[in-house]
Amino acid sequence: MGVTNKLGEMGVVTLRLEEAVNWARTNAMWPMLFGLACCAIEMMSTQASNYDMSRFGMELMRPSPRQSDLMIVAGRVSRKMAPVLRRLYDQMPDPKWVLSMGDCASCGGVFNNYAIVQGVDEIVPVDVYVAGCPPRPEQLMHGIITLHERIKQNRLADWA
Amino acid sequence: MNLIRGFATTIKHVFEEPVTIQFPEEERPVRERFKGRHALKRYDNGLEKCIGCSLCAAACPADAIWVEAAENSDEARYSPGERYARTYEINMIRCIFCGYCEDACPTEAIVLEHEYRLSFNDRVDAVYTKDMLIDPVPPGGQDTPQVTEPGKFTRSIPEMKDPD
Amino acid sequence: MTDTVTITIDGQDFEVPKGMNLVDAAKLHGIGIPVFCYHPKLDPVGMCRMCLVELGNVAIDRTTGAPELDEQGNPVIRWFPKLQTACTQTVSQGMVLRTTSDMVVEGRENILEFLLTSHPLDCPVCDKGGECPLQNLTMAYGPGESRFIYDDKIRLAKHVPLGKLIYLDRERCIQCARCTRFCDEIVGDDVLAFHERGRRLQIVTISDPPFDTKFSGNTTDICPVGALTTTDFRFGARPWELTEVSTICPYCPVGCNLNASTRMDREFGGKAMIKRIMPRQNERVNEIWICDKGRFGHHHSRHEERLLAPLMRNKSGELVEVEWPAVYKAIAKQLKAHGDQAGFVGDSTLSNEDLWELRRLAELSGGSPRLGLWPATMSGGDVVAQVGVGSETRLQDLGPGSVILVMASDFEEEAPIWWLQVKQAADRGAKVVVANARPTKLDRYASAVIHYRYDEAVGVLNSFTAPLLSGDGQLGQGNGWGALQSDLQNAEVTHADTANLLASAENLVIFLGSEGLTLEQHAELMQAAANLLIVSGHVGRPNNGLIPVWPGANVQGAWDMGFSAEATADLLANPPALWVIGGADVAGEDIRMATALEQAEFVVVTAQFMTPTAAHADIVLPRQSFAERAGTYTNGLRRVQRFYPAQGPIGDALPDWKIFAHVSAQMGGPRPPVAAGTIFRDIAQRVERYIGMDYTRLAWFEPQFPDVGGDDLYYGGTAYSNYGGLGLQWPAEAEAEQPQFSVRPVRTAAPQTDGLTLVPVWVLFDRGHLFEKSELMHHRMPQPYAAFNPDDAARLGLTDGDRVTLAVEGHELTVTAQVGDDNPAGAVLLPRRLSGDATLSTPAACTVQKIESMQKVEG
Repeated sequence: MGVTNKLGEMGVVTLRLEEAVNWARTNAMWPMLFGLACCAIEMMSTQASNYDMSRFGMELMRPSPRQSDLMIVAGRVSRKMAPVLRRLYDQMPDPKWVLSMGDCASCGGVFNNYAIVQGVDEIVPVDVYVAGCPPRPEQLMHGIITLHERIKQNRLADWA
Repeated sequence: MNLIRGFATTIKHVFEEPVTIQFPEEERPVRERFKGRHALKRYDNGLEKCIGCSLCAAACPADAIWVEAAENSDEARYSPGERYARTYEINMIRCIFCGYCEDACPTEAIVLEHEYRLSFNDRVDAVYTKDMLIDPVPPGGQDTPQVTEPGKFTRSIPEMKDPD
Repeated sequence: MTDTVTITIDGQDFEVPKGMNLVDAAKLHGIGIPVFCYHPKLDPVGMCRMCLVELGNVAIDRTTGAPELDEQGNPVIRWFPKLQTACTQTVSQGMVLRTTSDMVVEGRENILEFLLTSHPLDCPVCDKGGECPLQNLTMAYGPGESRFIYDDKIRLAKHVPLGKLIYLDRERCIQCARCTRFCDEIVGDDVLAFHERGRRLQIVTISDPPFDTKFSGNTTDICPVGALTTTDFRFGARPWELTEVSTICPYCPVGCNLNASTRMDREFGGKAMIKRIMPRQNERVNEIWICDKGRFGHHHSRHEERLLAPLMRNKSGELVEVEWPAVYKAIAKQLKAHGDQAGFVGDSTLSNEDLWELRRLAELSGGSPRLGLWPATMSGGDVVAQVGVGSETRLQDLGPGSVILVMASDFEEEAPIWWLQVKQAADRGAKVVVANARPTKLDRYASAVIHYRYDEAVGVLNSFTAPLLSGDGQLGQGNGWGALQSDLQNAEVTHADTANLLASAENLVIFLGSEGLTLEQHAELMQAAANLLIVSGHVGRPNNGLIPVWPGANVQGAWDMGFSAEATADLLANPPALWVIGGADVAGEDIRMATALEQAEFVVVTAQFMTPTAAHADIVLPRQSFAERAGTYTNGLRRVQRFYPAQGPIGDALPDWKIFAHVSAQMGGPRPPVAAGTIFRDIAQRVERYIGMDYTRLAWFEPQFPDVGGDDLYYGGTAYSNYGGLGLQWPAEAEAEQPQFSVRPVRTAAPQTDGLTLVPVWVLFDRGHLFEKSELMHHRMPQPYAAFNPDDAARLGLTDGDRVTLAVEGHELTVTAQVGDDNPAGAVLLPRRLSGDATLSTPAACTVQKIESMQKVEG
């Protein structure tokens, strides 16, 4: 880690650029609302006052892909939905992340059949998989923290 | 009048204690019967309860469990009886935490516990192997494989009497 | 009198064949009567009492002998006062059964409650759990609770090895005696028995070595509980996790239908792997039995010594790994240079598709293709095509009136399942004639045994034919009848009784091996057998004709694809510059081949392992085992049978046909076919005998009786139903509408020279390069030995256990001598594929030198 110092009383903080950028990215991450099934209910709950995702800078769910950084795929993705999901992902501005919430999004879960995409990583690159059927709000938040940890590992060289 | 009543409700809530739980610093306790991450149990002497019968895998609606069995001997004993699980894997992102495996287990070897922090950066990390699932050896017990005296642990299933 | 009777089961009338027992009769119409001890292939004993039914017969008026009628004019039914065992009762006209009445239900419940008094609750760890008749029947008919006291359960040994292949769990045994009866009735080996009585009744093995039979695995199939399980499958998987793949045994000419149960395995890289081999029912081939070689001989398919990549000799003469395209180019270059002097050898484990592509490659190479077959011990593919057994021959149909001649073959070692079927035919009343130079195990079931000197084989058959040649003959002119007649008119009739027996037989089947015969002698023997069959009229119909005991699984297919043993002999006599050898370990089995390969300019070998042959090669190509690919084998009854890929591929190994096709493409041939089925379509268009066959037709199946492997495992055991195809048999020429027969005189071989002849003989559990990889069978493989007649041994000063050196054609081999009365004089019997060293595949003169034990004399 770089040198991070708080200089006296002056309220000045010095740190490396990549850390500043990572900090900014993690703490103002706007998730895209992509509720597909039961997991979406838990996702809503995570957003509501009991768990309050705003504490992580996720102020509100954006249904618009052009204004969001994080796609939370909450629920099973049918083959019919897959192109839509990919299109929305493509419309999101970089940098962007995908969190696969729950079993169905992660690997098809119990729906091992022709209609369901067996893992959303078949169509978009997934950064974090969250187990659970559906995951508790805490589990989703743990997933988001895992994602934050991952983003904090980003290096300037990887940005390109 | 209605307007005032509405704002009164709002103002009342402003002075209330916030309901937000400060996860991860603060955690809401889970219920006793909450089903989280699995654990493979041991007997007091350290032998594994799991006998590798694959009934959990058969009961699993999501095909999340993979068991490969092998044979015990008195020189290298993992569990009572003839059979033990050589490979025991649970894919956490396939598991739906329904607890059917717990119900199916004839030796009460697999138990769903309360851990729920299960997020992974990679699909492969989500496959929990036997080493990760099995409980630590209880005090006074011995790690497996054990050398045991012949003829002592001949039965896989613990003796269970009919209820009176 | 008709052949059927009408019986009433649960109020419904059914027509059933006469003489059938009630369990079979009900089963025929889809009504299941639960059984434990009864098995459709065994005689009923009525031990388990599970098949209890209410039974009534038509009352007969004793004065008139006519059925009594009631007021409505219906026959009066007289019910047995107690429940009857259905398996021991045969059907009779008007019989009435109740299989679902309260009395029957209660009877079954009580029987199960008794059976379960001491049965352990082992189902989770039991290999049978999931396909267990006791489990299934308890769920279906058992009582929910037991009234017996748990503490009174009897405790017995749970882990008793019966030999090294089968484990016995004494607690699980329900004393149905299926295993002991299988050994006694079906096999005739006295190896299992009951010990003690009552509740203490136990299965014990009474042979030394324990459970000494070649068919021990079958007892685990018919065991209705998990008392008998194989060490091979022990805890390999649960039955419901297995994927079933149909396959064919690659070892002997019987062509047993097998079922490979596969499952993905962590130790096999997550690929599907064969967990066990089980029989697949084919009443025309192996019924529901297989021998232990087929059952436990699958380990070569994933042995760690498997070749994984193509190997080519570099400049310094070492075999190094190369890429496939490079070897294709190198082989094509060599074939272009030496094409007209190339020799091609196909192994008996190669499928028809492999052999066909090898032939195509040979044709592309220029010159007249020299297509040799390995093992080259038997001649006469053309004779089989002429007088082979009729289509739809079923060995289990042979009974009273049939005669089976088994000649020049140690039958149990060469074709165990045929041996089993012939033995059962003898039990049913068929007459078995065994002719060989030495006693074999089949002799004890034979009506006549003829022992001859090895070189007299043809004479024995001629002496059977000679008495039949009186008169003009029915065959018309120009068929050699006259020539044969004049040739044999002075033949000595040495076995008149047997000759009569053969001539008067309703059905005659001849099994012909090649023990002690050179290739030329065997060709004569085949023709002599054809003469006998044609002259006595036993050809062209089912259950009549010739069955060659070929020395491998697909020898018949190799003949059909144009390969011949004569060509192999010719290749040896005039060795080619370039050898292309498919699959065979020629150098490991015949010293003459090894010498020929050493002198060759270039040798290409496809092999699964680094065999002695592969060690001679300039290019070694890794071939896939039968388990990894699709193909067809043609068995000794000329039945073309299909097998399917069961196991995940290993390394870069490819099926032989693909290798040969790629080389052909390099030589300017057509693009390689994509699948074995495409090649078979090609075969079906170009090979006359296979016209009309294709993979779809080979996969046909029909319901077979008895219905084994259906939902009711209790009835036939855990052998599998056949859903992979029963195969198609191509008709012999004798079955044509107007067959053209020709006989010709065969000379009796020249008298034996003095001195000893080395005679290669078969042992089932050999150390062939494939079977040797099944390590769990090593204890059944005998140590290398040479067997001597006592007189010869005395002359040479040998005693049992002496070390001797056999010198054959400039090659020396050291083995242990065995002296036994059964061994024929003038011959040294040397089991094939038993020693690590090469021997000979056909007989040859040899000299014997005793090795004096080296004793140091000091001081």
